[in-house]
Amino acid sequence: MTTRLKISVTDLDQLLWYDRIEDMSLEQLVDRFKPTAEPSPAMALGTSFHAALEEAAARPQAVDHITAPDGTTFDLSQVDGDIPWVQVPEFFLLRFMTLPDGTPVRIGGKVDGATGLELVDHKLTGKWSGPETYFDSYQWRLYLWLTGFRSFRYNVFVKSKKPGKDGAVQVTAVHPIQCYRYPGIEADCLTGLSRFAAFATAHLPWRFFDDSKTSPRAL
Amino acid sequence: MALHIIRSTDPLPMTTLVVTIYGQPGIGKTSLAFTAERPLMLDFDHGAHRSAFRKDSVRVDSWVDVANLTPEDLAGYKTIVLDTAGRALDAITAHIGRTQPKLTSSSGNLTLQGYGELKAVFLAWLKRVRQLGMDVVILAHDTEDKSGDDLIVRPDIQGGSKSELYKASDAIGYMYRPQRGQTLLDFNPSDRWIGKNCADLDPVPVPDFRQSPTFFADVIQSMKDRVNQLTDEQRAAVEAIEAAREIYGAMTTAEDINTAVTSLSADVSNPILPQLKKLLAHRATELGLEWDKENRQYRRVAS
Repeated sequence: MTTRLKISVTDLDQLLWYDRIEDMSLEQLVDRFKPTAEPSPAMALGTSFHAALEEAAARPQAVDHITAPDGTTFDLSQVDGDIPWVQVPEFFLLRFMTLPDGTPVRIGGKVDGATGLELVDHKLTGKWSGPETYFDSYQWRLYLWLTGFRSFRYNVFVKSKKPGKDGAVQVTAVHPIQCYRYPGIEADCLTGLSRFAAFATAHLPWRFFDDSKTSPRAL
Repeated sequence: MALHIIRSTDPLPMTTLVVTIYGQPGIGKTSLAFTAERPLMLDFDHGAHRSAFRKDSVRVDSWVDVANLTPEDLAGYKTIVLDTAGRALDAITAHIGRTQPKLTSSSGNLTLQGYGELKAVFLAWLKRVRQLGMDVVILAHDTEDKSGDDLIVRPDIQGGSKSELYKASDAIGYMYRPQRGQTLLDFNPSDRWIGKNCADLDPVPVPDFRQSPTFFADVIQSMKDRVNQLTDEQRAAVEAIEAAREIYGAMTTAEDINTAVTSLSADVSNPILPQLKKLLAHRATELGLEWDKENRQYRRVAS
């Protein structure tokens, strides 16, 4: 039987944050990788926001309210900013490869969209702590290295803790952050992937799957 | 106010750049900046005299000295050098304290609104200088941030202003000495420092400026050339996808869609490919088709 490690483009960042959050235990970190049946409220809100923004971002316009299919409304009237349109919304990217240590991996992720040679990822956060978190991330590095896209744009939307009078989620600002492919990107990604593979071998046995029936190509 | 979705498929050629360079005091940032094209240094740090390669500089004591630069002030220059960003922002902070005291607290620090004003003043200045056709080189000292067990080198700039500088800079380079006798200018981000490399440049060895008096002018020009080349490639990619969208939109049968799927290359390094697949999948759904995994083609949904 051939086993392959399943990796999401955001997995490596979990390890990165673990290094930087002093009070997080190893058990808490491992818990974050366990499949959960129910998304957290924050994750569910993020999903609604993405769904609402997908249609709006597909054409040039000024937007002050957007509504998700689940009925959640987002008030963007306080936002003073612009983002480029998204030419092709939401698609999956999947790559099969073998790491330098011999571990076969399947790396996958869902991007929010692309315009030409630029990938786009929307984030909804309750706290804006600056662009460094995003610049430091492996997520954009992996996407750019694996796909041939030239640049990666985060559109970080900041929401207020207080809902609006009409119950809408108040979005107060948008921070566009642009990251570019660079010459050392492959080495950085392989370092992160190898570290994650070692971590998964030790702590995440459920991430390895029988790959004998899968052909090694993008699906 | 609102969120504006803008169409940026027709970007203009990049004629000016904002480049931030940071590194230890004494590494040679000021001298490097003097090798840019026709530089005028705004010397907030009062250290231009220490550079052996000094060109025109203005000793700045107050933000009002440079707040309203005119085309006449900048005649004959191509590059504005801000030395250093930290001191320039201090000068704006002092200016806000004098002109809008309500935006400072009793201890003299800016309020939250004051920081908003600081950001607005700096960005408006940057925009105006660029509109005057100037490249902007922003110099900053470095500082080490502790992040868990890691030490990460970043520009030494106060609070939220750093975020704005990161966003406003087209490129951010770290200048350092990897070994005795060698200085590198590296725009690549790493796990030890922050960088922004819009032009896909390899780390650049910093030469002796006596032998290379136009070193940074050449670096900036190569950045512009590369960015403009990438802009052309971006425009071509957008147009190719729109052309495909139109072709796919005219398809009416599963056979049409399957022929198009087969014609797509399997080159996973081609970033246009997954977008075309997505457009084809969307059109197939519109036509009432579904993906047959076994036969790897679209077929009409059985009614």
